[in-house]
Amino acid sequence: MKNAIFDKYRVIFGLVLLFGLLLRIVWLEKYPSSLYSDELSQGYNAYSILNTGKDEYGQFLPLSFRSFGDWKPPLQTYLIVPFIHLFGLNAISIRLPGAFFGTLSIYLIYTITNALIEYIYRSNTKILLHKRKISLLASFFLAISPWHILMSRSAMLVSIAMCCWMGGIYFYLSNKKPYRIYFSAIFFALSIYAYYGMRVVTPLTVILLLLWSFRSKQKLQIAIFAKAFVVGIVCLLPLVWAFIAQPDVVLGRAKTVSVFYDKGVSLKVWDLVAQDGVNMPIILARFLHNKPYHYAIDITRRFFQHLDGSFLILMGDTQLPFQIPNMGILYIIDLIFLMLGTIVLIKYTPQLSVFLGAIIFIAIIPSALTFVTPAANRTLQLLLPFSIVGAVGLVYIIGRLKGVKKFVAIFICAMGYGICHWYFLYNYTIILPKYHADWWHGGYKELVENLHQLEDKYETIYISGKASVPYIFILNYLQLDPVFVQNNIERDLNDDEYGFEHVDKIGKFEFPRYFRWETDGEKLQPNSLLAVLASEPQPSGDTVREVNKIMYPDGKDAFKIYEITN
Amino acid sequence: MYDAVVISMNKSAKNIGLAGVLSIATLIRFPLLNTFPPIGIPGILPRIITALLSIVSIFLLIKIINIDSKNERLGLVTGSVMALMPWHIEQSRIYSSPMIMLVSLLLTYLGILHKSILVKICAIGLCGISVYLFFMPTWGGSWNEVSFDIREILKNIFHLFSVQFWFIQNDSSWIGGIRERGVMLFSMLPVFIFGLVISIRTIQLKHLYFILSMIGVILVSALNPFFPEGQLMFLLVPMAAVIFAIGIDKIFSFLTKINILTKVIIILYLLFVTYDYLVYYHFYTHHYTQRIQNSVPYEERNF
Repeated sequence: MKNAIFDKYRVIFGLVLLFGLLLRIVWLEKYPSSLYSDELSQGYNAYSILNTGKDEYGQFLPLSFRSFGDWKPPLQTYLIVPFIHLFGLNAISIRLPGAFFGTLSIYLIYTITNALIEYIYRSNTKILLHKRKISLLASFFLAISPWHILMSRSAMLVSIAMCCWMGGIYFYLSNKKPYRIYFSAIFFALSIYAYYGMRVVTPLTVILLLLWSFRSKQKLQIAIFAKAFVVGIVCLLPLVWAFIAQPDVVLGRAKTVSVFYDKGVSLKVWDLVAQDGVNMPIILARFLHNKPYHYAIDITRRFFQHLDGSFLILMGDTQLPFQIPNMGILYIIDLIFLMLGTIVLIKYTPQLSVFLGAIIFIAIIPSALTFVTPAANRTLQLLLPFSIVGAVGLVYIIGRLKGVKKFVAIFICAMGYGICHWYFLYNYTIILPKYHADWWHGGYKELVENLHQLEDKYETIYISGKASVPYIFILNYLQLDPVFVQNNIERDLNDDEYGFEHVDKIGKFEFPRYFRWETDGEKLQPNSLLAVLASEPQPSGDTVREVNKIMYPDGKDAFKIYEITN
Repeated sequence: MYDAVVISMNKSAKNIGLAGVLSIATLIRFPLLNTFPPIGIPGILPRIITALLSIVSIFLLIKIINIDSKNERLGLVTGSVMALMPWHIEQSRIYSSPMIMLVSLLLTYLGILHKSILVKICAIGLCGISVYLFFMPTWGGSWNEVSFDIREILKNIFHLFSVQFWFIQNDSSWIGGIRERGVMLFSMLPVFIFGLVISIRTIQLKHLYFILSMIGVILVSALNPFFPEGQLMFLLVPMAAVIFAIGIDKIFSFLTKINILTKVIIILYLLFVTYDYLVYYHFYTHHYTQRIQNSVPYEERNF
């Protein structure tokens, strides 16, 4: 019977969900091997909120966490608080919310795919026959997706944002009972609290859904929609209020990663106008070489970088923590079913293809407006349409085969995905932690523990400012008292070129910004320790003596610790 | 009689259309052929031959589309697209082996469309001869230099499918084209996407030979040890022209049915395309000339 508890689709889906959960929960503290600075920032701020109700800056229940000057959206940090209360300040507490919401996304993609196909093809029974297969496969693809696993196993904001966004879509599409639209509004509002990019993606998605309803001539219960809209606005009022008080709460780091902040296009236009020289009237040169035109080209180029095979299959993200060694963010076998699914959708189900195409467009827009492209974290929402398209492709090809051929095809696909998934797990659990520990700020924990053991013997401990944001590792790994931190930390709130602020000192620990031994060495106090990255120029001379070093798992030097003598 | 007059008028209009496309192509390709781009080989005869062959290639493509699709309007639009395609213009104005190969390829297609099996066989033979004469003397004869690293090959294939290559930066050749522009104009991207969607919806099994040959070109291009510098990709130009033309043709067919707002948007879009062409010609006649004049001596025969 269709609705039986032990319906085969439900059983298989249950297994997929369990598998997805295991891939996201097991050994959360080991893979990735260490906590990244952004994760630690959220962890410590959650710890501070739990103990004092204030963040590291002393702000009471902030709606945006200032962090390193990048003003992190608050949702994930607040979700971490109860886990820290239960399990303490450690990797598991920090990463568990992302893992749970990542697993919830697997459930949501199954329900969204079901709801979407029903929503669009209400009376087309042929497509509805395949609905459950497509939904099941879409959830499976998401469960084993290297891209999604990477983001779910880290506290990088996007996993929770994607889940909230999908929740909003699901409740909108399944609005047979009117009250569900209110949940849609709430989830969409939550997504805006979860990640910067959703401040563009969510409104565009809402517009798309409304236009879709209007276009498909579905009866819009205006009153209920209006109420739901009001609910959404009410949920966002605190953010609006915070924006009035501090504009960076909404803009955050967005302005310093914006493509309009980067000087590349301006310099290019200037260069072209200069090449035209005196032979051409300046007004004509400016007409032919102007910023709007070149920005349009630049943004388009960045947009389509996210659909480039090199990014998706071969190399992945350019930013280190979002890279998987030796592979992209999709499996190579995904490419086959994505291409096939795209052709099938365009040929046979144009409405669904238009909807998914619009979602792809919306998902990439925020990242295309930054100068750090292509970006895997900012476009995680692409996995919704990609999983559905891939599922359509696979269902189509298997559906056209019969008998032994069908069995052989299923076997080959299963083997293909098995090999790809094994390759991903090998790179993620062995290659990444051993040979690329620096990508996840490896070595810092050992450095802090080492410095802590030596702390009592020295007046001051310096950590080079080139070592990322060293203060946050001290705060976390030593679990410094939040009240002490709020009252005693010394900060330099002038941003650097990337929009990051700096901490100069906390307790005995000092973090010289832009540290260079040649110019800053003589300013260091005698009877102190200096920790520098092994990759930066090393101190030398009579006043320094190497006392220890921290190594990465592959044996390469990570940090060196020097004693500064008289 | 009335029908005969109408048919005759239609035929005249199509002939005028064909003449118009070829005339525009000639006007773009022949003037100042001995000075622009700066000449890198002795004598102008090779350039004249290439320019003539480029006109022939446009004519052949129109004929192929007319025969295959039975839609002469589509044929004319395809020819127009190729006539105005930046890469085709750039290759027309230098001595270009790829242009000779393109004509061979189009003759092959034309032969394959013929009913006679003998003609089909001769057409395939012609293709083989032109590959031997023009491709093998280049890196095609040096397979020991080819790297069969699957990641490299895939990377090259993805590059050939990228929007960057087709619309933003054609980095396939140093002297044969403008690196600051794509194969096609940036403003034509929406039309290309639209044409691609329509092509997917209407493609038929009989087009398999065409698709397979394009896949072959892509695979061989991806193996080039000097990738992305290699002009074999030039043979993909007819495919691109057809996709564009399908999109444009479909838009034409909607023109009488759309509302005034959509017409205004189309007009504004056409103005943008015109502007884009102006910028392209400025780059081609000014910045491109500056770039290659400062470079070391080059050979036009680079493949």
